[in-house]
Amino acid sequence: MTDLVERLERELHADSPTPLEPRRLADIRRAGRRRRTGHRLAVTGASALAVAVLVGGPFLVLGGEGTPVPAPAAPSPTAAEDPDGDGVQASPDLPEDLAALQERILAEVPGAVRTSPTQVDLPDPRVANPDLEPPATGYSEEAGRSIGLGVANHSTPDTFAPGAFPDWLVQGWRDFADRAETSGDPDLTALADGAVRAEAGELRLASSGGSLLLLERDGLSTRVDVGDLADLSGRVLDTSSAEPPGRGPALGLVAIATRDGSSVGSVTLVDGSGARVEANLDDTLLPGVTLAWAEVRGGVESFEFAAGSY
Amino acid sequence: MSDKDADFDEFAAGAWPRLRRSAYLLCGDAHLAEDLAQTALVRTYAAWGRVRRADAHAYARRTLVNLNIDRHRRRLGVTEVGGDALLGAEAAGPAADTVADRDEVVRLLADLSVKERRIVVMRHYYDLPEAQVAAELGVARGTVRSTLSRALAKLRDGLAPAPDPLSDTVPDPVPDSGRTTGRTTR
Repeated sequence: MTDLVERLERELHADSPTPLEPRRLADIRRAGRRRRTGHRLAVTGASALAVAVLVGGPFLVLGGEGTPVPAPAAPSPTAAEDPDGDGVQASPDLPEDLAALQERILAEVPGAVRTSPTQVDLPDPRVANPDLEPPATGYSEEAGRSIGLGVANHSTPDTFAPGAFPDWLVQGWRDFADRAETSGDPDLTALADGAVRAEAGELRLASSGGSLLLLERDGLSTRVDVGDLADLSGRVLDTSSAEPPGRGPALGLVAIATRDGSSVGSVTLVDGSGARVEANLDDTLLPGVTLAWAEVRGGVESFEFAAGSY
Repeated sequence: MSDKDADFDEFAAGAWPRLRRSAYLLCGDAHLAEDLAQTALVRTYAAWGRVRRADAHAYARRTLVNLNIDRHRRRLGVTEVGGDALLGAEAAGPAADTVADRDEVVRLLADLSVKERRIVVMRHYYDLPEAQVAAELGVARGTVRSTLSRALAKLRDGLAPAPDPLSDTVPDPVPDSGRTTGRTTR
């Protein structure tokens, strides 16, 4: 192992150092000064966005199989009926183009709601039109059986199939996101993370070749590394988190296999702050393995489980 | 130029190669790596009055790692933990390059999950102790250890030493430490 680490560290450091060019250094100082000056204003928007994202994703009960069309939601008021959304006001610090786009969305798209001073949420377009194709390519790896986790997934309008939203909305968002991407301004980039977003179904888990796939309905899928299920050598298989730790609520997932095959009755996940969350359970997706999940903050720090059936 | 700017210039010139290299190891794209390193320095400069007396290198490094995390969060309701999603996101981006253009080690790192890659870079490029990696990422030390172990197991084949053509001896096999995935002790 020592040889391996030495080789790895040698390879990691094998680089021809490129000096920092004076022009780039001047750009860095200029941008840094700009950031320092505008920091207070920009932080207001970014923080509000973060809060809105963090509280997103209602946690529901375990869903069924397949990729069902979402049940129609209760009718949402348009901006004309409820111009302030739920009383949330737009941040005065929003960039003009984004602010104008959000206002038009609130005025013209049924069900659009301002969820924070910097964020507007659109309903899943399939609620209004069940014939629409799923966003992008749909669940990209619907491998075998899958289960719904009851945790909402959101995505920006440009990731949905053509026709899911009006052209002006998609193009307006794309223009803003492109501008943010090329601006090099991290605060604009933060807004491009989801200042306009739409519900894109729920996260699902599928088993594939002895490992798990976390399915997102935006054309990407995520492999949840729980190791080789054929080589269990302990009671606890592994833990995974679907979001970097310390960044807010994440999908905390624990897979538990018992040596004697006994079932697991309940699982409590403990997050980085010590908060305890009762997990949802499934023992049908992977034979001999109980999957337990819940939304947690900062990843799963530890967990407890009790024997018995649920 | 003020003393403050002169201090920063000296720091930035020294920090740039490592920031750029570590960003490249994390994201696998040379152009994007320069952008990430530059943005990390912009933020460090913006906070220079606060950080220069402390550990500016650590501040810039943490900023860079967080920027890369933010990059993965872009346009997703949740963030991926697996390399599959990263590859998909890169393929869709304008700055995607080809695997053949990358350093061999970057190609190997691309086979790791995002989390594994991040921890490998922090531990074995920045040479941070496990406890510090755990603290900076907000995870348990055991998680760092198990993730590293899993990552090294994945990297083992790719990092096998090339046989010496002038030697008749067969290189010692890399000791098999056993499968490290699928096991977490708590």
